[in-house]
Formats: sequence, structure tokens, C-alpha cells
Amino acid sequence: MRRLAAALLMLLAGGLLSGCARVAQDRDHVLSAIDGTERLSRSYTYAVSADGHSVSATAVIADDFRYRVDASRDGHPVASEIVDDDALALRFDSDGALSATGYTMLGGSAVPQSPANHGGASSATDANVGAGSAAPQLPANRWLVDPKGAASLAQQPPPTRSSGDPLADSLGALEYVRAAVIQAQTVRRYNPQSESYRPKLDPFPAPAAGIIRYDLVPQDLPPREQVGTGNIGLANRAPGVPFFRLMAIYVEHGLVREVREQIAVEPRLLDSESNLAARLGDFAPGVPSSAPVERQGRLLLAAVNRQLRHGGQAPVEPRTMHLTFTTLGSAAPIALPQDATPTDLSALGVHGLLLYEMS
Amino acid sequence: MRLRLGIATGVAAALVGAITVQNTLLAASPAPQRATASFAWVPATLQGLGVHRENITGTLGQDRRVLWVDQVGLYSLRRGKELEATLEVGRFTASAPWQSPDFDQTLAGQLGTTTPAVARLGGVRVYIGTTRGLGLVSWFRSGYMFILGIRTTYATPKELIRRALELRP
Repeated sequence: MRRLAAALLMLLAGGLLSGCARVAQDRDHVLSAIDGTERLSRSYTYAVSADGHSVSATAVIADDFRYRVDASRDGHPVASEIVDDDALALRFDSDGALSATGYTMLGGSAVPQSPANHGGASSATDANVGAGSAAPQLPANRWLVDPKGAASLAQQPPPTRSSGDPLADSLGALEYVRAAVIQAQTVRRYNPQSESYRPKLDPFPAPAAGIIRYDLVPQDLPPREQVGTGNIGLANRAPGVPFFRLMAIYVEHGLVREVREQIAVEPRLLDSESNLAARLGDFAPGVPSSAPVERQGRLLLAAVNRQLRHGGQAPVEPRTMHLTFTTLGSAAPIALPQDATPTDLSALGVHGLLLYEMS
Repeated sequence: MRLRLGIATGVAAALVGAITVQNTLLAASPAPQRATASFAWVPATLQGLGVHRENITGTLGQDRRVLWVDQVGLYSLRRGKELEATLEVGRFTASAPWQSPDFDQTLAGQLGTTTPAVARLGGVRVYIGTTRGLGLVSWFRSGYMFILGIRTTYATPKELIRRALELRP
């Protein structure tokens, strides 16, 4: 009997180990697909919905030194960027693309933010202040080109969160996905036949034939009875972005075809296995458990973000993201606009370096 | 600031050092013959810069370590007398696993003072790092390692990189 128990234990251990290996393999497969995709010329669309607004972009990447991206917000063009080796061409159609650059648009022009004009002043007087200062003034609604605007070989850190700049966010979309894959507790191949699969909690479509879907599975909180009281210990830390993130990566022939992401609080409150609802009071004291889930989620989000910011961590910003590759292995030729106005764009900072992979 | 050739050869010595065999048994054996080389496929001009082969016989002669390369050529790229860049080309020995990404990354990682990032240009993995006053760009092709050192003040480094990537041994 003891031998049988030992043998069963061995089988169980072996099964667990092979399961762990499988999970590790799934993560490796996704990372390999990201690597392979980044090596190719490609075109894609990138769409984010957050806070009642939508940002979308279309990008054509010939290689890491040649690309074009056109971004819009709520259906209106925001900005476009073309990099052709050392040359940079930019077009700003609204100030939505400038928030991350330190510039804002005044009186139809983009001027650097300063204590005098920071805050979105809109009068002609303020615009003239920008025009009269030493800082460059960038005309809007036309192409500007700097032949050396993308000449820097300086490295840029890979994005791990949304910057608010639709140009940068769309260009760094795959690297954002890579960071999410690395952060995720578990990467698991989609299997609707699995006992652990819960269709009601799956916001993403099933993969088409020939496509493998991999899911980032967020970590669950430890049950209330397993953790102590107070704010001591890892178990009582406010859950961060990976806890609230669901992401599905669709892979075909070893290349990423599509990525869908949802960062949201309510689905995690509704997921009993997450233990979030049971531990609501740990992170948002005073929120009644009888309150509607929507209200619980709103109050919890505010409380969690206060704690995350206090700890120097990225806040949770609910959103949905959809990245779709339209071509892989080819891309339309990248050309600078013919009618661009020569402009010194060096004050906008480093542009034009898509160094996706840090060796 | 004008860079002198001395600095260029100093950089070359550092680059040669980067392709030293990291194997103590091999390093203990007599160093093989290695030679400075003039590669015929290196053009006379590159993106308008004059390309001139530099004499690094002395630098190579002082280095008694076993290297992964058996031929090395160092070229200066000048606009007039002004040194704008250097191009070093090393031909790998038959035993060098230059087609291994790990090997390439290890060699590229020994250049400069920063961990290189990887850009993909025309299907080639290009390692980009920096050292004081220089961008260091390296890639591997057809059994050769290319190292392009570009002054950070050079106006169009990416176009120069793209032209250099067109070199075919």
C-alpha cells in the first residue's frame, strides 16, 4: 500500500512538473513569436479604448530605422510620424500627441510647455508668448521634416506601460506585450475543453483555425484566511496592473497575428477565484460588500491606485487594447512627404529608434 | 573636435580584444598566425567618406591572445582629413560559431560601455552600443564580423550604417 502511495505521489509530482514545464514552454513560445514578428517588415493597426476615448494608429514598419505611423483620437487625426533613417517627419493635427513631448498646441501651433504656458492656455496672446520665446514653434496641420531628427543612436527603454503618446505607444506595442508576458504569473495555451476554462470570464474570441491563442493568466490573491492583518507582508500589497490584466495573444506559424488586452476591475471582482471580492476591505476599507459591483470597482480602483502610487508603482488604468497585424514580411515603401517644411525638431527629444530587443 | 588616428587604433585594439577566444586552454597554446588584411570588397568611399586602410600590424603583433579571427582590417572613414568613423572587419576562423546568436551577442556585448541593443535592418541583426564619443555598431555576415565606430557628432549615422550593411564579402 505504501509503495502504491509512493508511486502515485511520483506520478502526481511528475504530472505537476510536466505541467510547469508546459507553462514555461507556452511563455517561451509567445516570446519567440514576438521576437520573430519584430524581425519582419510589418503593418498593423493598434486601437485602445480607455476613459471614454479611443486612440487608434496604423503603422508600417519597414525595419527598425524606417517606419510610418498615423495616429488618431476619437476618430480624428492626431499626429503622424515618418522616420527614414536619420530623417524625421512629423505632423501634428491636435495636441493629443504632444502631451508626452512637453509641447502643446496654442493658436494652431505647437509650442513647448513652460511655467508660463503650461496648462493648455488657448489665447492668441499665449501663442504669441510661445512664438516670441527662444523655444521653437511648431506649426500644426502640416508636415515638418528634420533631416537629422532621427539620427540619434541612443537607446530607449522598452515601454512597459502606456505613455499617453499615441505615436510612441503604437510603435512600442509589441514590446509592451513582451513586458506583459514577462510580468504575467502564467502563460497558458487556450483550451476551452479544460476544466479550468470559464467562458463567462473570457472576453476574447476563440482563435480561428490554424491559430494558437495564448492567454496571460493573472495571479489570484491568497484567500483572506491565509494572510495576516494589517499592511505587513507581500500578501497584503495592493494588486498591480498584472492582476487586473487579461491578454490573449494569437499566434500563427510562430508569428504574432493579433493581441487583445483588457485591464479592468469588475471582471476580477466577479471572479470568485481571484479572491478580490472577499478581500475588498483589505484594499478599500469602508466599501460595502453590498454595493453594486460597478461602484465597488470604482472605489477599489481609486484606493488601489493611491497605494500603488505611494509605493512608486504604475497605477491601474482600465482599458482595452487590440493589436492586429495586417501584413508580415512585407511593408509599403517608406517615403518622406514631398511638401514638408524643413524644421529643427531636436527639441522634441529622441525619435526614430525602434530598438525593440535589449540583448 | 578632431579625432586622431591614434584614437582610432586605440579603439581598434579594444575591438580586437573583444574577439579574443574565451578559452583558457586555447589561450595557453601558441597564438596562431593572424594578419592584417585589405579586403578588396571594401569600397574606396562610403556615403561620401573616403575609406582608407590603416596599419594596425603593431597593434595585432602586441596581442598574443588567441582570437576567433585570422584576418583583421581597419579602415578609417574621413571627410577630408576629418575622421568621422572607423570600420573594422574581422574574418572568423573555421572554428568560430559566428552563426550562433549567443556567440554574436557575447562578442557585441564586449564592445563599448553600454549593453548593446539590437536593431533589425534588412533582415540583419545589428548590435548598437556606445562608448565615449562613439556609437559602436556591429553585425555578422558570411563569416565576418563588422564593427563600425561612428562619432556621435556625425550627422547621418543611420544612413552610414545602412550603406555599410551593403558590403558583401
